[in-house]
Amino acid sequence: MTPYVVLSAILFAVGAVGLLVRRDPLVMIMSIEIMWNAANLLIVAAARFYGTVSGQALVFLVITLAAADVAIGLAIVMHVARRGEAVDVDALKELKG
Amino acid sequence: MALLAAPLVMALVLAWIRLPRSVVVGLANAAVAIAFIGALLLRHGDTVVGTWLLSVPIGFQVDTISQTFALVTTGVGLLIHAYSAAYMAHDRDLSRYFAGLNFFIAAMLLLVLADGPVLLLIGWAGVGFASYLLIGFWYERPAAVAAARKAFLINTAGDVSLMLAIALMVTSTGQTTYSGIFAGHVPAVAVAWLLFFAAAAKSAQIPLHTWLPDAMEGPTPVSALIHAATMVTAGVYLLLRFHPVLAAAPSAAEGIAILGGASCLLAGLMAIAQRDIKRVLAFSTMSQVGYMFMAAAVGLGAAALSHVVTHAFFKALLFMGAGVVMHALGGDERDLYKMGGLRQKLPATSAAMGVAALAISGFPLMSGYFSKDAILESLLANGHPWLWALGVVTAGLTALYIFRMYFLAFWGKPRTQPSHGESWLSFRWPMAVLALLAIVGGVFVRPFAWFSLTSGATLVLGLAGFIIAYRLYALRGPVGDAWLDGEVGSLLRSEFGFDAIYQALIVRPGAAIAALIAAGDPAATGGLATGISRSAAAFAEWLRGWQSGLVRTYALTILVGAVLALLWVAVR
Repeated sequence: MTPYVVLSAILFAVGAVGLLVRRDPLVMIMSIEIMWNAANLLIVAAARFYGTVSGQALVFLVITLAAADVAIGLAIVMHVARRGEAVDVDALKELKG
Repeated sequence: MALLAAPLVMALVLAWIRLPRSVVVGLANAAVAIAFIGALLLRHGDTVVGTWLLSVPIGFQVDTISQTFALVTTGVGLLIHAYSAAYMAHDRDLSRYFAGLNFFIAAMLLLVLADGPVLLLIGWAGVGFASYLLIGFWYERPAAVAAARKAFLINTAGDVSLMLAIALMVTSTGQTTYSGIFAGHVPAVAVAWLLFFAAAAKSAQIPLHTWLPDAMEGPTPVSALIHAATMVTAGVYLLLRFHPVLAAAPSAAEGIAILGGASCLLAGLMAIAQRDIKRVLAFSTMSQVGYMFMAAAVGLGAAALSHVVTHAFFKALLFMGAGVVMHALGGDERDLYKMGGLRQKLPATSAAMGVAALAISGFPLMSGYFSKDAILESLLANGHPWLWALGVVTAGLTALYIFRMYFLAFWGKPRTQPSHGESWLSFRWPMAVLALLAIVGGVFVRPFAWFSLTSGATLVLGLAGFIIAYRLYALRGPVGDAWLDGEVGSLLRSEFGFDAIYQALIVRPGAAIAALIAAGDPAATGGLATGISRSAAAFAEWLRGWQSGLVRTYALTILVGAVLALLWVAVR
């Protein structure tokens, strides 16, 4: 069990750091994917460890959600790119209060 | 209940629908005529119509008292409507005027026909509101607006008193009809005094009379309506209706009768010193209602009721005559000193006013002779010699002030030439009917001894008043008022200082408190309100700084938040 937990933690940290330090939205989406999958890994490992299938069912749900997340994220990125603006999240701050 | 519905519906119609002037007059008169016929056809008994909110049964009750009041209200009211058609013919707000008049009649009918105090209170407040509308009818005149406000405020004080009385009666007996309340046990002394203050406000009795003379700012037919047919007699009705309560509290009843006697005498004195023809009549009403209060308070209902009826006849006639005089002198001349010698130009009016003056001063065989002496005689017979003495003295004063007015206006040399005469027919026929009633109205009075100590005393004092008035004013005119220049005269002219006292005791402190509140309010209430709104705005300003638009900051914030939440869970 322990190696899976460690690997999952490392993957999650990689994803989080990537999300925070990169300004390219494509890379940020990929970082989020890594975090999703870190969580998935932990869930299936736990399901296996406890001998239940509910964790595997939950992972399927997470995978579909992650797909939806990527679809919407990529659509936004495409639109930003088509408007001819720099694809840089720090430049995209019109929605500030 | 057609008699109630007709004027009420017509008031609403006239208030909201614009109709040709002749139609307005016709409809308004027809509504009151229907009400009058309805009042004639009333059968004695109770009708319960339904249940009102809070399960108060609403219904109507007809007995001698309420039918008499209904007949006076609609009968004299009809004559006043007919007279108004001519008097107000050139007013631009004819429809509003007649709407107010009809509403007044409807409210008064509701008041007298109700079978319990709750419905009575609605009519009572309606009468007060109608008087406010009509006294302030000429709303461009500041004096009229001020008079209307004064009348309304004093009447509202009375309304509160009546509400308290009703609350006491209803809570102590659990009943909401007259018969139920009178069968139960009520705190009679408190209720009697509360009822008196309500009645005094409506009927302009001391100490709540000061609105009545000011109410002369309203159109003259309105004054006639208020004084003869509706408003001021409502207080008498209240005392008559709640007579069982008064009978259960003899000391309160005695006190009320004394205050009524005081109104009777003091108003008679105040009337002597007035220059305004309508103010003379206003104080005269107050004085005559004082008679009714004396009798009603000590349980002499029949005598009080008969004076209500005859007073309605001659007082309406006096006001109509005053209206013709004002009209003839160019619209709104009310100063007796500027009148004089009008009997040549206005012979019919002069005759009618003479009849009314004789009737009110109790000339033998006129209506006032019977009803006033009925009151005085029963007062004496029931052991109230002091009230009797007050009434007899006032009878002399009555002759003095009413003939002072009559001689100043109609005798002597003309001091203003009338611009036109008494040409209109509709001025005349209501006055002719009322003059006839003022003469023979005594037939409505319960028969009593034709001659007695009382009638002898009132006759002697009345003759004395008449002779003094004749000697002072018939030939000399306003010069006759020279005797009023002394201290006594100035006391009378200041109307015993009631207005000044109320000004000092109530109006000025009230205004001072209001000014204080007006000054303190922006700091206190305003400060609180603006403080709350400012702090909310500041909080929002601080909060919006968090929304930077930078996605990575949001991500970091979420991460830190998640870590902190996890740490908290772990530590706990």
